[in-house]
Amino acid sequence: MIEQLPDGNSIGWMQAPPQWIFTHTVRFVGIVRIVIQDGEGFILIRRGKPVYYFFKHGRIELKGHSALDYFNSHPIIEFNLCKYSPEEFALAMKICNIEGEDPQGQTESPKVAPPEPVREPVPSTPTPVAESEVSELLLEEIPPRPLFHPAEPRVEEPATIPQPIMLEESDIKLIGQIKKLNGVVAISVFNDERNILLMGDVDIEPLLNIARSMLATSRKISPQVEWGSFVHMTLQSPEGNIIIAPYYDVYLCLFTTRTINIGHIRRILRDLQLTKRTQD
Amino acid sequence: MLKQTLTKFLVINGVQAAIIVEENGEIIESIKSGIVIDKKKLYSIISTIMVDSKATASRFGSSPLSMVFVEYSDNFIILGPMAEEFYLVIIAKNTANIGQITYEMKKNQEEIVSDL
Repeated sequence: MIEQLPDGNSIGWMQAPPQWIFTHTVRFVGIVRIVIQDGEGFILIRRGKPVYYFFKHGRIELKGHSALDYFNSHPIIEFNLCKYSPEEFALAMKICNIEGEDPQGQTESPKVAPPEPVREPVPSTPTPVAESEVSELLLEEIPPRPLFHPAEPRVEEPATIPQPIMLEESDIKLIGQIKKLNGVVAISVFNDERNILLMGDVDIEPLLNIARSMLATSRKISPQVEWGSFVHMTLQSPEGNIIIAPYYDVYLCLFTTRTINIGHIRRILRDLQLTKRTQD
Repeated sequence: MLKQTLTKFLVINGVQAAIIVEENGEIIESIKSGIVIDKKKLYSIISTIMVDSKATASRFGSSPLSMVFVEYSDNFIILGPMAEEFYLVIIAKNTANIGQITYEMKKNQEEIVSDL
């Protein structure tokens, strides 16, 4: 089935919690192609609403909630956002046997099965889909369930629930373009609390620790200098370069090869800040 | 001699200061043009960058620190190791050519080390 679906216009590969997909696709119409280990799957999404979940691992196929549960059983998944035109979306709906759907959402949606309030723990490997779950294929009105519950509050600190950071489609596209630059190994969007988005094949935690440490350094020196706003900090080592830069209310972290053109990256980061100031 | 070598950096368009510092942030030699920075502040800025960046670089594999570059909208600061315990710090306007500065840093490294 996956092979039959239209390719769409790829915005870029990234790594993020499954929940990120649902909170960042409000204006997105298309397919989210997901790769987990040797298996692959997808979520058809129309303006933030998932209409079809599918995952295949060898001969095992998961559909509907089973596929969603499997995605949600991974803290981070790797996926590619591919935009669809109305025609492509209509074709994808047809291939997925979702009938009576208008990609623009102008016709009545088919009846959907309500989400089950409690589910059994998700197995670590995909399990075959049951016949009864075929009715779950149409999930338009079913909101995705949260993956993470807020951490248990510590005695000395009040519990805080991270608010979703909204990145526009244009932001993701831009970040994807930076990732495509020769020598950029990975790019992350992060804040003080967590990684928001990662594009590239790296282990996020060590990278994030370094990025946060650099951010702390920049915060220590910024009040002491009268050189305007902070544009970026780059740390070079034989392993490569790590660059952090403010991006709206969050930060970008780039991990690049040693040979990258720093001047080029510098220009891009400065342009980003100029654009931001213009928008402000 | 060291001052003379550092003067070569001031010739580069946009460079406002060239400073040799020890690992602990102590300023060994400096030369400035068109910039006024409080000595205490400068010491604090450089030592913060140096200490923090060395600690950060140690988490980045087992690599030594090659260079640190912090840019603001008006100026930027580059810090690069010259010899064990000694670093060259360049402060420049944002219009300066970073490639040219880093090239000169590498080119003059031996001379600076011999002057130390």
